[in-house]
Amino acid sequence: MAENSYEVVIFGSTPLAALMAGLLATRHHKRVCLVTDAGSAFRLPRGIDLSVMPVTRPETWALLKEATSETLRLIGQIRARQGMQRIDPIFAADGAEGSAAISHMRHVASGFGYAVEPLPAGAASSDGAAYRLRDAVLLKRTELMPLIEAWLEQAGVGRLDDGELAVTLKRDGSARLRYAGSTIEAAHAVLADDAAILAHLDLSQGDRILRVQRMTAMLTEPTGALAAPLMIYPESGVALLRNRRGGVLALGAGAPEIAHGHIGRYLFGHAPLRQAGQGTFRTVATLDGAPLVGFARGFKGTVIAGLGISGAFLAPALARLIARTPSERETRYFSAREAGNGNTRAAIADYAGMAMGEAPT
Amino acid sequence: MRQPNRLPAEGDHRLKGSEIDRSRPIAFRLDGREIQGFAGDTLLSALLASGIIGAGTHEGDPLALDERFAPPVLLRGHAHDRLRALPLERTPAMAGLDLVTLASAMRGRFGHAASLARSLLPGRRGLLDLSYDHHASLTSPWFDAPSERELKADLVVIGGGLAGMAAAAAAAKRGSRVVLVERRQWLGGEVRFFGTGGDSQSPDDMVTRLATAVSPNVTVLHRAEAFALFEGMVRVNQVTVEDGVPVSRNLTLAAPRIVLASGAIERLPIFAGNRRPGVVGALAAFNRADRFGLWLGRRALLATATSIGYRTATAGADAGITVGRIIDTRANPQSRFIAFSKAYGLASSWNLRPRRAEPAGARGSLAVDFEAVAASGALPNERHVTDLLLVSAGWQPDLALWHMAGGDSHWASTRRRLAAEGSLPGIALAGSVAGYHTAAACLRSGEAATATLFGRRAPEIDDPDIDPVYETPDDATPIATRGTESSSKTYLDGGTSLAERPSPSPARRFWGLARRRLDLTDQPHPLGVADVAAGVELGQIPPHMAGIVAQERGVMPGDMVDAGQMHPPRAAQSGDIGTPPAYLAGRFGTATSIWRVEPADGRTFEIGCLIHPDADSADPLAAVGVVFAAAPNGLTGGIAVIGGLRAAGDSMAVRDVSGSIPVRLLDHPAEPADTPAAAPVPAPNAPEMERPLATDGALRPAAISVAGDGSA
Repeated sequence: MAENSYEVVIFGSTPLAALMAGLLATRHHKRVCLVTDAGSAFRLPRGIDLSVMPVTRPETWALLKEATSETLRLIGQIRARQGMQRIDPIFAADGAEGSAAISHMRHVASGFGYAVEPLPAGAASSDGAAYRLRDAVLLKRTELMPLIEAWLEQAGVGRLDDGELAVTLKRDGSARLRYAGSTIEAAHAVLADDAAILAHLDLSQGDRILRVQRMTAMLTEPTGALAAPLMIYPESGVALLRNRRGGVLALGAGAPEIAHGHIGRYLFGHAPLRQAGQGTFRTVATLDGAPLVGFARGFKGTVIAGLGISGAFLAPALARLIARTPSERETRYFSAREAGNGNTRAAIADYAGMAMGEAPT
Repeated sequence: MRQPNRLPAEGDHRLKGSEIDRSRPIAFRLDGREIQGFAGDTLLSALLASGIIGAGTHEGDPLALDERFAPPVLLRGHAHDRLRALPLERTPAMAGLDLVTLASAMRGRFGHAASLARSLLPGRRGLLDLSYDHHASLTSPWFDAPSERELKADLVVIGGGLAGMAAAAAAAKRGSRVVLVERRQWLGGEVRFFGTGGDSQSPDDMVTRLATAVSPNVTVLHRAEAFALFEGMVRVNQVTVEDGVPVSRNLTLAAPRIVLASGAIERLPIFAGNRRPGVVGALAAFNRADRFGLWLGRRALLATATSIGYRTATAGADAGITVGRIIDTRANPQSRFIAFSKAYGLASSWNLRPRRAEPAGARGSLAVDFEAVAASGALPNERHVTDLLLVSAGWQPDLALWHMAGGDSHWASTRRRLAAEGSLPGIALAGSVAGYHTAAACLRSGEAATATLFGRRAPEIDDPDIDPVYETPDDATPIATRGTESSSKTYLDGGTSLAERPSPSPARRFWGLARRRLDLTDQPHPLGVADVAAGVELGQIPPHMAGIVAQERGVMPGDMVDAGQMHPPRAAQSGDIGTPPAYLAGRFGTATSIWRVEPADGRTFEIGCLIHPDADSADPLAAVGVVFAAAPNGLTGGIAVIGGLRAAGDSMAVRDVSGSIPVRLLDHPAEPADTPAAAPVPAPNAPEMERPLATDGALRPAAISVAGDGSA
C-alpha cells in the first residue's frame, strides 16, 4: 500500500473514534488515520460516555455488557485508568411513557446482573419513576483523551485535523483527503460521531432514519450536591453531571430557552444557580431510538449514529465489525441495524426518548 | 484607623484626589471594623485608604481587593436580603453606615464576632475575613433582582468615556432621547491616564466640553453597571442615595439603538503571586491616586510591557513615592513617557519580566523576583522588595456584553487580543472596545457609531500608530517560565473567574497538534475575555478557538433556576398505556398476543417486568414477554405482550425484583382487537427536530400482531 494511503480513515473526536482507531491499528493491524476536529476539545463538552444507557433491548444490554468488560480491560492495558471512574447514575422520568421505559430498562438490566434500585418519588426532581444503577463506569474525557492519544501515537495511527482537509467521501465507502497539496486515499471511511456525520453527510433534506437535533450545553458554577453525580432524564434529553469542583455540566435537548427550562426545573432547590458557560450544538439521533451502524445517505462506508451515551464502550465490537471479524452476536446485532438490507427497523426499535448528544469532547 | 494609604494633601503634585473633599472626613463600619475616609470616596477607596487591601483568601493565598474584585456588602438592617447587596466600588462612602459583607451576613452573629476577631490577628489586618475556597459564586447577587423601573430611549450608550460621550452627544444634538450608563461617579473614562494625544485640549477640558454637550439632553446614570445586553434591551444595576442611605436597584433600558463603549480591560502579567495584595495595574493605580489620593505604601516598582505604564511611575514619583526601579520586558524601548521617567531620574532595567511575588516581612511588603526574557542576554534573577508592584501588560477590549448579545470575535494575532467581528442588529461598538486607541479615534468612533445606528453616513476614523522609532510598541503579555519554587497561585486575569494557570500536563505531544491544556470544563466560574486572551498566549487555547470559547464561557449572570420555575412540571399520567410501546416491536417474534398475567399470591407487577417460559429461565434474552401496563380495575398481575402460541391458562413466570413468580395467562377482554402500537414519541417541547414519521409504515411496530381476544 502506498505511503499516503490508509485502509481505514475514522472521522471523529470522541473516545469511541479514538479507541476504534487504536484497536484497528493494534489488534486488527490496519493502517489507520484518525481525522479529528482539533478545536472541539476547547468547547463545552457535548457528550458523556457512560457504560450504561436507558435502552430496553436485551440484545443491546448483552452486547454492551460484553463490550464494556473488554473496553475496561483495554483502558487498563493502555494505562489510562485515571481517565475513568466508577459512578452510580440515576435515570429518571417525568411521564408515564418514560417511567414505563426506564422501569423496563431496570428489569432488563437486573437480568444482566446490574444492581438497580428504585428511588422514592421526587428524589430525582422529576415527576415519574427514578432508578439508581450501581457500578457504572464514566469516562473522563479530559483526562482520558491525552492518554489514548499517547497510545495512538505508539500504535502508528495517523492523525489529521478535519479543519485543514478537503474531504471527498465516495459512494463506495472510500475517501480522498487533500491536505497541504497532497492527496491521501483511504479504502474505507468511518463517520464515528455526530459532528463528523454533520460535517460530511448532507442531512439538510431529512432522512428516513436519522434526525438532527439541536442541543444545549450549560456549565453551572459550583452548587449543592445532586441526588447522584450523574442524573439522566431520557424524556427531556437532559443529563446533569457534577464535576469535581461542584459545578454541573448540563446537556439538554433543544435551544437554550427550552433546555434552560428543563435544567432549571431539575435543579430546583439549588437556587441561586449560576451559569459558568453555555453553548449550542447539533447532534444526530435515530428516529426509532435504535443505533445505525452501516450505510447512510447513499454512502457505503460506515456511519455510526444513535449509539447514545455508551458508544465508546462498544468500540471493540465496532472495531471488529469494521475489520470484518465480528463475533456471531455482533454480526447478528449490527446487521439487524443496518439501513436497508431488508431490515425492518421497527423490529429493533429502542426507547427513543430524546437522545443525548454524543458529539466530540 | 488612620488612612495610611492616602497621599499627602500638601506638596506640588497632582495626585491629591479630585473626587474627595479632605475637609469632610467620614467614618463607617464594615463587619464591625471602623473605616475612615472622606466625602467623595467610594466604599472601596475608603477601605483601601484605611489599609484594607485584601479581599480575602483563595486556597490560602491572599487576594488583592480592587475595582474588579471586591465583595458585595449589605446594610446591616438588610443583612437578610442578598438582592439588596451593594457593590463596594460603586457605592459612595457615607458617614455612619453600618455594613456587613454578604458572606459575613450569611454566617450569623457568632460567625460575625469570630470574623471580627480574626481580622484583628497579626498579618490579617489588611484583609477582609472572606474565603473564596469553595467556589462560591462570585457573581454579584443583585443580578438576580427584578427590574424596578424601565426607561425608554432612542439610544442607550454603555460607557461614559470619550467614545460613549461623543456617541451620546452626537445623538442628543439631533434631538434624540439618550441614556448614558457609566459605572463610575465621573465621566471621561481613562482620558487622564492616556491623555489626548496630539489634541491641544487638556483631558479635563475635553471631558468638560463633551459633558456640556450631553448635559441638557442626555440622562446620565452614574454608578450604573450594564450587566446584560440583548437586541433592544440593556439591564443595568445602579446605586443611588435615597433618604441618606445607598440603595441598589436594577433598571431595564429599552432602546432600538445601543452603543457599546465599554472600554478595555487592563491585562495581568502571568507570574506566581500576580494577585497578591500590593500588586496593582498601572491604570488602576493611577486612577486611585488621581481620583482618591490613594497609594499603597511608599515604595513602588513598575514591571511593564507598555510605555504608558511609565506614566503611573512618574506620577507617583512626583507625589513623593520612591520608585525603586522600572523593569521593562522590552529592549531599549523608546517613548515620551520613558523620556519623562528618565527626567525624573527613575532607574530602569530591560529584558526582564516578573517571575514571582512573595511576602517579605510582616509589614505587607513584597519580594519580587524578575527573570530574563528568553534569549535577551539580560542578567537573570533580579530581586527587589517593595510595598507596591505596579504592573502594565497591555489591554483587552471588554467584549463581555458583545458576546452576551451574540456577537462574534476572533483572535487578532498582531495586537494579541480578542477583537470583535461582524455586526449585530441595533448595536454598534465605539472606542477601545472596538479596538481604537487614540483619543481622537475614540471620539470619532463614538460619532460614527451613532451615525451608523441612525442610518446616517459615518465619519471616517483615523487611528494612526506612532512610528516605532519614537514609540516602541507594547510587548506581549509577560509570561513567567513555570517554576516549582513558588507556592503562590498564578492567575490568568484579575476578574472574578479566579482561573489559574494550568498545571503541567503529563500528556505528550501528539503529532504536534494536541497539547493538553487548560481544562475549560473544570473552571468553576464564567471566564472573562482577558482569561481567554491569556489562555491563547499561554498556548492553552488555539487562536482560532478563542472567539467561540469566549462566547461560550462569557455568559449572562443570573439564576438559572428562574427559567425552570417558569417551566411547569409535567403532570404524571395514568399508568395504563393501552398498547405495547414501540420499543417492544418485534421483540418476541412476529406473532404476539396480549394477556393478563395473574400470579397466585395476588400481587401486582411493575411495568417492565420480563416474562419467561418457566421459573428456571432468567436470561433476559430468553424472555418471551413483558408486562407493559397495570391490570385494569384493580385486578392483580398486569397486562403483558407475549410472543408465540399461547392459550388461556398457560403457566409462565414473571421475574420481578423478588425473583421468579409463577403466573397463568388470562384473557384480557378490555383490549381492542386491532389497536396499533404507538410509534416512538419524542418528549413534548422538542424543538427544531425532525418529527418521527408516525404514519410511516416502516416505523410502525407492524411485527406486533395484537390479538385482543387472547387467542393465538
